[in-house]
Amino acid sequence: MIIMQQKLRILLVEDEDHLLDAIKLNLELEGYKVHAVKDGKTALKVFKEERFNLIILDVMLPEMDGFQVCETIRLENSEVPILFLTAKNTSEDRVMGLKKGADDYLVKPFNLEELILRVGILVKRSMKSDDLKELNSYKIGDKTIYFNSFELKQDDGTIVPLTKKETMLLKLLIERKNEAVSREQILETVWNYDVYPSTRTIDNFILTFRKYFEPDQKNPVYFHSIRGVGYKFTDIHS
Amino acid sequence: MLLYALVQLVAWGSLVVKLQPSRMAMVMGEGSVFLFLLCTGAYFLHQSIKKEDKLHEQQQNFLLSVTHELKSPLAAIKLSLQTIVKRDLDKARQTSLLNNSLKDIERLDDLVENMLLATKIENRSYSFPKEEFDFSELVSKITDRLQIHSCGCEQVINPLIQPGVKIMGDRFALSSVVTNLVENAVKYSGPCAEVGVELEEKEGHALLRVTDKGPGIPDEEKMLIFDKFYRVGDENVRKAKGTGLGLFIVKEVLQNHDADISVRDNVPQGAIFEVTFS
Repeated sequence: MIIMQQKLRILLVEDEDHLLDAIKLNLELEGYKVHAVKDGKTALKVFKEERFNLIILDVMLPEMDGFQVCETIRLENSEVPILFLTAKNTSEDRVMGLKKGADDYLVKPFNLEELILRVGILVKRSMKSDDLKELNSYKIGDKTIYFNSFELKQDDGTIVPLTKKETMLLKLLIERKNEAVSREQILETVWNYDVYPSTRTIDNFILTFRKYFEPDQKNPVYFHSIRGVGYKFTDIHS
Repeated sequence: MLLYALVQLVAWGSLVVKLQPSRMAMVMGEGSVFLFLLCTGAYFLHQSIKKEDKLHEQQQNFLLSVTHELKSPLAAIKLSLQTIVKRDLDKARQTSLLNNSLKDIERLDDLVENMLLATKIENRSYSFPKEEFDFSELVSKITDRLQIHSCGCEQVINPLIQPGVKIMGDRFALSSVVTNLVENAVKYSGPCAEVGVELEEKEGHALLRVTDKGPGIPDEEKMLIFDKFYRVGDENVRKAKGTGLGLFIVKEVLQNHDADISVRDNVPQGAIFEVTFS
């Protein structure tokens, strides 16, 4: 349960200062880690750099409205739950919000209890989908990674110990197989921003992985660097 | 419809010319007059439909902005109070939530006041009761009040008020004028940017000047900003909050007081609103 040991993270997008403060305070008291921003463009920027378990979005926002933000997020991520929190209360607005890919819609002024319950349900749903993906082991070629014991079993049966960070990075890349994972997401998930390693550090990890798994390290088939973005894992056997 | 009328006109014209070729000049003359009237009518019809559409769009925007302006402070007040009831908060946090709620209530009060005044002005049911009063005192009071709310980090409103400037007017309506002008300047300026409020008496006329360092107002919009409901840009992605009633009230009240208002660009950026009382 490497990922779930961290605090659940919520991206809160609201341009009204007082409302933002009060919602943030309540969510933090409920034990969530909240990243609060005040406009649509910053929300997208932050979303690209970090991973969240839930996004709470206002509709009427400076720079870019919430519907557009939701649509853009859905283009690259169909899983993260999105809750609209808005003053727009017509049924057309609700339908529009859901059509754009939101999971829930709450109208202002709302009840604190209702907000907390809905947030809880949506976050739980996101965790369930994470649970399904929870891996104990994974086979690459003839080698098997054991995530819980931080070990790599080679084809000849010898066991190579893996560091915690190596295991976490492998897990992240494998979970998001065939997808480019950005450096920012790697830093957020594996290093949790408590230390800021240089990009070189991540490169070194990838080099180690290639040494472990690639038949030809110069022409990798599993671990690819995507220039300007990050890294991608592809499994030729699956 | 227009096409049909034109085809009819040409068809009848050519028929008459064919039957009586000597009346060609008459047909052409009358035809041109008819064509001119038709085109003028079509032009005015088009203009009025365009105006109607614009008004409809502005009203829609007004509804959206009022919804936002009413519900956002309400939501914040409700949430703050529910938080205090539900949580065991320390005194400082409680005070901060209560202070925010008080500010939100004032914001709601200002909005309701603006809506009521605008409606009364429109209905002509407001009589503008006038008396001579100290305008300097009124402007000072308003700048003091807005100063506290505008910014936490440093003084933003820079008042330069000549004491003892007296005018004949409606104290309540003029306080709404000054509040709207200064609030707009604060709203459109960046955080902690300086807003200037100057009041002086020049050649026997009171002169009020509100300057900001915000983005300024494009020339083509300068005339439109005083229209009811008019707001620059799309309501869904607006940076500054408001309803589009403030400057409409300013214009109407000043018209009633025979005062002039002008807006020009500030240097290097921003806008200057200048009110001259006669």
